[in-house]
Amino acid sequence: MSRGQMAYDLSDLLRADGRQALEHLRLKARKLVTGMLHGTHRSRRKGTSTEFDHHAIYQPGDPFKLIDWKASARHDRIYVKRQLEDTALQVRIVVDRSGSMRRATGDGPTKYLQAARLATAMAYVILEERDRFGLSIAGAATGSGRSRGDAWLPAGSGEPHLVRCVQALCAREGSGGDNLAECLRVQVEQSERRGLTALVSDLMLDPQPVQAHLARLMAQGHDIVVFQICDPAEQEFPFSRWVRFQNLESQASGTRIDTVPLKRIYREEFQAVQDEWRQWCRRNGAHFVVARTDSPMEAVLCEYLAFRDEIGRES
Amino acid sequence: MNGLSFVNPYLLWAMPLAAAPIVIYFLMRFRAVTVPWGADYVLQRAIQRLKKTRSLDQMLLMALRTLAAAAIVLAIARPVTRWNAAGNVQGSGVHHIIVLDDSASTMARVAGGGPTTVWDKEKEILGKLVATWGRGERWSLLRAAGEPRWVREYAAVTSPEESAHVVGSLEPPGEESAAVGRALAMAVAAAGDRPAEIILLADDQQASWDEAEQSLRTAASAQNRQAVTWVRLAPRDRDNRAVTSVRVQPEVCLVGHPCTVVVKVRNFGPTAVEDATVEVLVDGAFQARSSTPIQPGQEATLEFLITPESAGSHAVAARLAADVLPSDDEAFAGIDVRDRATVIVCRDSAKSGALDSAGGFLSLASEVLGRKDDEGKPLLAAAPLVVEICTDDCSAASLSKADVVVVDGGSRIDPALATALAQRVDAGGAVLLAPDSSIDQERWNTLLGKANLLPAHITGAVEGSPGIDPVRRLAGSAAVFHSWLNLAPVPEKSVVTRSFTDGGPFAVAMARSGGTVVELAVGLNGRINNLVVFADVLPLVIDLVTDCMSRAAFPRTVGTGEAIAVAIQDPAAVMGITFAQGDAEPESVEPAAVVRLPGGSNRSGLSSLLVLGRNAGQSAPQRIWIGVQGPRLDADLAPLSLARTAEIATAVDLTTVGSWEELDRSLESKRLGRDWQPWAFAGLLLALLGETALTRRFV
Repeated sequence: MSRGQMAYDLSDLLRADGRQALEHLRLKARKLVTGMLHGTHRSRRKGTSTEFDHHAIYQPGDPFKLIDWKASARHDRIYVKRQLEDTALQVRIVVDRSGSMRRATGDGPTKYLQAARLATAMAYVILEERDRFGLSIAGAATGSGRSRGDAWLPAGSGEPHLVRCVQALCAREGSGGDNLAECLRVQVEQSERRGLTALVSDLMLDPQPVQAHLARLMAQGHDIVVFQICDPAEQEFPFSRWVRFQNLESQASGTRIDTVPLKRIYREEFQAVQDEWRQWCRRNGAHFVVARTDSPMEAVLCEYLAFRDEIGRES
Repeated sequence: MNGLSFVNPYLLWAMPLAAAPIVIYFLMRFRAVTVPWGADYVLQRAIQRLKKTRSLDQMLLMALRTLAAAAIVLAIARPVTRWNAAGNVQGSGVHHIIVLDDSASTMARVAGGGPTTVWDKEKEILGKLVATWGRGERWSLLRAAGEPRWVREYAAVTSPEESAHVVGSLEPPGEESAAVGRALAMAVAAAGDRPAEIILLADDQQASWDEAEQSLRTAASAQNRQAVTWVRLAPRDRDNRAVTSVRVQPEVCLVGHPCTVVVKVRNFGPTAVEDATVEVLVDGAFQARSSTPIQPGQEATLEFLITPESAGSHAVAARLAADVLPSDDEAFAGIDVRDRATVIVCRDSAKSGALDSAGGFLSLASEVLGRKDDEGKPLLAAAPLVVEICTDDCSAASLSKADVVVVDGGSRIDPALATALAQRVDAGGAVLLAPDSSIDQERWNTLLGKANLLPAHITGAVEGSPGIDPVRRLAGSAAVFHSWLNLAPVPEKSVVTRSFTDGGPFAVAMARSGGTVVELAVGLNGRINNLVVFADVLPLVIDLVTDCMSRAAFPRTVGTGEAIAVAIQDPAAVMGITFAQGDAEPESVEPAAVVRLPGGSNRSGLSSLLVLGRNAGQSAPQRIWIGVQGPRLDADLAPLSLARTAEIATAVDLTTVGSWEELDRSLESKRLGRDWQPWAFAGLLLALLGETALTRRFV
């Protein structure tokens, strides 16, 4: 696809009704995040927010306005108030655009289109909260480093930034092999401010390297949420005859097989892959969300945000 | 299990269908649809697992499917086996071979059975026998009459109804004699090495075993000495008489003129018959009856005079009183009665007197015949129409209307006359040569002989005492002739039809290409040759004319299988012709001037052709009767002697029974149990269950 030629329209990614559904949703940080700008999320850095943290003995140089006169009068020592600083949430959205994401059932949307819709919806919510987000598109792997198809948009805010991200998503389509692990490795090396990393992929890849990089990101203090985009046919395997499966990630001739004896085993294996990811996320405190391509991504996001909000209240 | 058999063995050709699952496997593999697939990671994991665990299952499934297809084919072919209750496996169903005597003698009545015949009993026993066989059992049915022939050969019983239908639809016996020995040898050969039970359903007629030595030797030399159960059915008694022949002389006669029915009756029984009574019927109406004593093995001939009263074709029947074998107590002949005969006399031009020529003589006779009695009725219903023409005027055209052409005298024979006569004969006409003392002997012999119109050469006049004419008397008649001619020895092609009392030939007949030539040793003029005795001349004239007509006409009485031919006067006016043998369904025949049926009729009795005119309103359908008489080959009911029975028993393992009950008991002791055939269905069920179980495991 030539540059500038759009695979999708902007309206494909964020439809009016979807935007309306996302109006009042917030993406709250589960962990303390580090932000450059004032926001609504708790930060590890002490600042000037209204939320009290603790008292400290006055040290020379402390601003007088921070002295808590009442406490100083009661304890006969000079105390200053220490308050938590509110920061903006920084979200890194990583979208997988490998060849397998080009799969669609019938006339339904491709997995990549749905992933892009999910990413756009998430970016819109973040934007509404005046938070910051960056976008990574993990494209076809090359011999070294970042592939040419990758897109790396630094964190930013504002509608122009949203438009740039959406344009980047629209300009691409799933193709080539998997490069998700490499993309995450780059993010680890970038050592961005801690925040939320949302991975949107079909997860049809070797989970070990990806999970290793995700673990490193978590070690850096990032909150992780994994969205698995599932094609209904890939999940249900609705075949009862001989089928030649053409692998979308390679140019090989495909696999010709009788699906009748394979059907049960395939379904079990698919479930096993999902369970592996679900258990890994549970062990590491990440969220794992399955999104089928026949479901509206706005609804998936709404459901997830509601779930996240509920968890936040409980904690 | 030894020697598996199938109800529908030809369906085993469908066994390659068992490979259908394999073919379908590769066909479906070839016709795989292509699906773009993203979850190749999961797919490869599943395939690896499938290869590890399920490859054997898949091969098993394929084998099961193939077995299921084979089992289906086998089940449809319906395999059968027989299982001995005692535990001895006896191989496939025993091959039942029935040798059925359907000779003419089986139409003999059995004792105490009223009209029941040996054939009826045979069919009854055979019907009961086939009802005991289970599905899939093999059986053969061999008819033993004449040339033995298989009705069923190693056929499987599909249903009792079908077997009963085969028995019920057996044609009744014909007139052939049985060849039981030959049939038995064929049955032994058909049995081969397989387990078989041979059942002979036959009467005890000795003639059935004639010329059986060779066949019995063949049976005795078979590898396995076969067990034969003979259901020996005896007739009520052996006193059988048969009408062996009935002939009407002449077959073409004139209305009102008597003709002779000659009936031959033979006593085939062991005892003399004091009064074998024969009745003659014309078109079913009684005409005459006569009795005669006949010694055993002898034949008697009876003659009856009948006088047809109407023109047309008539059926003449000669009937004996019914005896043990009624089928040979009656015989039929056909007769063609005409109301007019046209006689053309070719007269020498030198003959001028009224009684100087045959024409004058025959005209006078015809005039006498045409006279009427006091009540105005003609003395005889029909008299010949005599036309006299000069020999110089004789031509094929002028002679074409004649039923009989009389060549009178013989002094003026020329090649043109010979040619005209030959053409007339070739056209199916009759020529009566009546040479007298004026004959030019050399021209007569040369010209007529060259034209193949001479039954016998004239060798000269009969020499008598000087001044006294030689007088010769006709045998069987009061007519006296003053004969002047001698005939050469009669050649083979000719036959002496009437003779003088001294043995010399009076009339010699010769058949030639459809027509006939009859040559007399005398002239038919009244001047010097004949002593005309009034009462004797009239029948003689009619006899000569009708005899010539009969000889020129196609026979109305034939043997079985003999060709039948009938001349149709105006084929263009015929809409259709049907031919019927007895009560059988008529078959259509193509109209022609001469309708020929080369095969004739294969059954004794009355056959007929029905000629339908185009203008049905004006002319009634014309029925032409043909009497068909076969040789009484199987009329001797003499029983098989004990010594001969013992000889047969040395060739085969013979058990003799006399009824169904005895046969059933005899077979029960040998019978090997019931058919058992569900294993193929059980195999099919197991295969389907396995298929279902494996499919459920996969899916």
